[in-house]
Amino acid sequence: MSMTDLNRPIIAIQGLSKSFRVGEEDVPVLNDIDLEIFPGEFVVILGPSGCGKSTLFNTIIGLEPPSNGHIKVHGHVVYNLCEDDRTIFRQKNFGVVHQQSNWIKSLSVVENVAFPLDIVGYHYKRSLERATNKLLMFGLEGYAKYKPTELSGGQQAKVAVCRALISSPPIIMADEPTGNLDTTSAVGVMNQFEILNRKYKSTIIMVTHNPIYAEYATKVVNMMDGRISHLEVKDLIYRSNSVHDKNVLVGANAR
Amino acid sequence: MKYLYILRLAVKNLLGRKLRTFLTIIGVAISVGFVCLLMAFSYGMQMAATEQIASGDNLKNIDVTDGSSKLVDLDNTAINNIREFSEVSKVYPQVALAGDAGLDDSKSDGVVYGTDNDLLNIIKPNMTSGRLYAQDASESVVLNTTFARKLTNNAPETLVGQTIDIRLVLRNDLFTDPTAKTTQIQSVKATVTGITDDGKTPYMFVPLKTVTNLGVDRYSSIKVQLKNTDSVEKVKSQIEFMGFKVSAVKDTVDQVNQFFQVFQIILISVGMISVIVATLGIFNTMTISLIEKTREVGLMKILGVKKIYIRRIFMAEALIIGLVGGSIGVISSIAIGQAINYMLYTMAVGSGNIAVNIMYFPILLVVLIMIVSVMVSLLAGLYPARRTTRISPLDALRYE
Repeated sequence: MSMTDLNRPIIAIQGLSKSFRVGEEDVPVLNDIDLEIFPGEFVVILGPSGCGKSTLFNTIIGLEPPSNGHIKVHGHVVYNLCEDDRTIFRQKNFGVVHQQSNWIKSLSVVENVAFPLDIVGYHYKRSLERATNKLLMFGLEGYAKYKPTELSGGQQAKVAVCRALISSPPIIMADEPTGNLDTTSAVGVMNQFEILNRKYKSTIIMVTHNPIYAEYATKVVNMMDGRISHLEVKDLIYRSNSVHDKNVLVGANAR
Repeated sequence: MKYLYILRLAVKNLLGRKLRTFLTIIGVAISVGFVCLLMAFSYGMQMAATEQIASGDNLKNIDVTDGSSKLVDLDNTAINNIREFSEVSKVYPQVALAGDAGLDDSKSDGVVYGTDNDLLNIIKPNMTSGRLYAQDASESVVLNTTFARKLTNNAPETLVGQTIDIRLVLRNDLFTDPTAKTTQIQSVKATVTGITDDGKTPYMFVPLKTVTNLGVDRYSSIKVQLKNTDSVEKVKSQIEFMGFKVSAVKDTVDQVNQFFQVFQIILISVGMISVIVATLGIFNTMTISLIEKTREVGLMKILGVKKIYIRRIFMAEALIIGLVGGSIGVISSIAIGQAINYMLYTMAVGSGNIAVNIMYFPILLVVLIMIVSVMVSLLAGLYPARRTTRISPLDALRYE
């Protein structure tokens, strides 16, 4: 556990800029971002669509090379690595959940959840056992043999979380994980994140446009036009109580 | 990623789109089976042809004649010289001359071969009745059916055991002695020991000494048996150097084989076309699968699958198509080939002919065909597999 020194940032972003070339023009998307994320934090990156939050997300998980500045994860400069090494780095450090659930279509739910373990050559039968246990946590064990696309959007989102968690990654990255879900399913997913963060001390970084979810966060990063407009670090004691009345919270903020 | 898991994933991917996989595999099977049948046919024909010309030991034999040369004599000296070669195991002289045979009032002309039993055992005339005369026999004769019919008014088998009168025309070129200038006719009596059914023209075999006792000491031909087939060329040229005319069954067999090599190249070229079509089939299937899987490939990259493993998954799918298609093709072509052989066998036996297997599947052919189908499938999978490298995980996420 030397990597999770609580006083050292697990992710350090310095002077990060990113622009996309559209036709003849460079369109800036991220502008001089500085951000430190410490182990055990639940970071919610909040902003309207087009503010650059998804680009920041993809840059952190090593999919989008920055135009300027750099990102260190566990002290390693991510983009100094070649593509394959970044892939392995991502596999070791991040459990990723996207708004749109993607599946290996020929594999069943349980096989999809087990997939990250099979990537690293885990014993196949045992990978399925572990995946079944994860599904059990989410009450989805009855769907293990289904194809993921046969499940509802809420169930798929939960399965995607199972897959992100299966290899016990140090950091969970979620890009609009509740984007397609009804309120009940969304709350279910958020509860799981909260439990993971409070109970299992997982570091969670979640991108959303919905300010409701800021209530779950220990750190809220508000973004606007490619910049961090406001950074809020919340009271830890307040947070620990919120687990028990999240429905009230969601309802209150929705109003 | 373990190979076993890659294989498992590939199989699941293929089973995920059963119809397309099935059609592609059938395409491969048909093309591979077609090539296999063509080749088996060519091998079968080649086998049948060479077996007709020579079986086993015949390949070790060389036939020597004087080629109507007045300069060299195929006499005992020459035979002894040839026998001296270390590669030679045995030498069988033969004399051919004109003659006729008479029984009671019947009389017929024919060729008389002064041939000993040991040479007859190599020639293996097909005996219809009676048997060959012994090695030390004298006053014995074996006639062919045509000859025997003429002497017996169409009852050749009744001739066995009867004694016939044979007149031999001894031309002067059968003697080394230059003083024997005139052609003489000599009569002998011989008992018929057997009838052979070979040949349309009348001929008979008599023990060699029947003619040598009459002073004949130049032979029409000799058959030289070697210790093994490898030295045929060497001994042939040595005997040719002595001035004789030489022919070996092996030469004919070699020519037949050469012909079939050309024949096979033509068949392979025809087969190649169907293999190319099958390759395009695999290629097509794999490319469609690649397009369908853009998202999936992107997902794998996001989840941490290295490029090489993604390529291997695609290669494994192509390989499975090739292996399964190839196996089905080979197995069904062998089944079809054996069925054809069986049909021809029953037809041949039914009509009283000798059965010939025209479909022959040597192990080498089967192995070769399997290697070709594997190579072809890997080739077809190569491009789609390499293309996965170019798929960006982000494009995959955006792809709808």
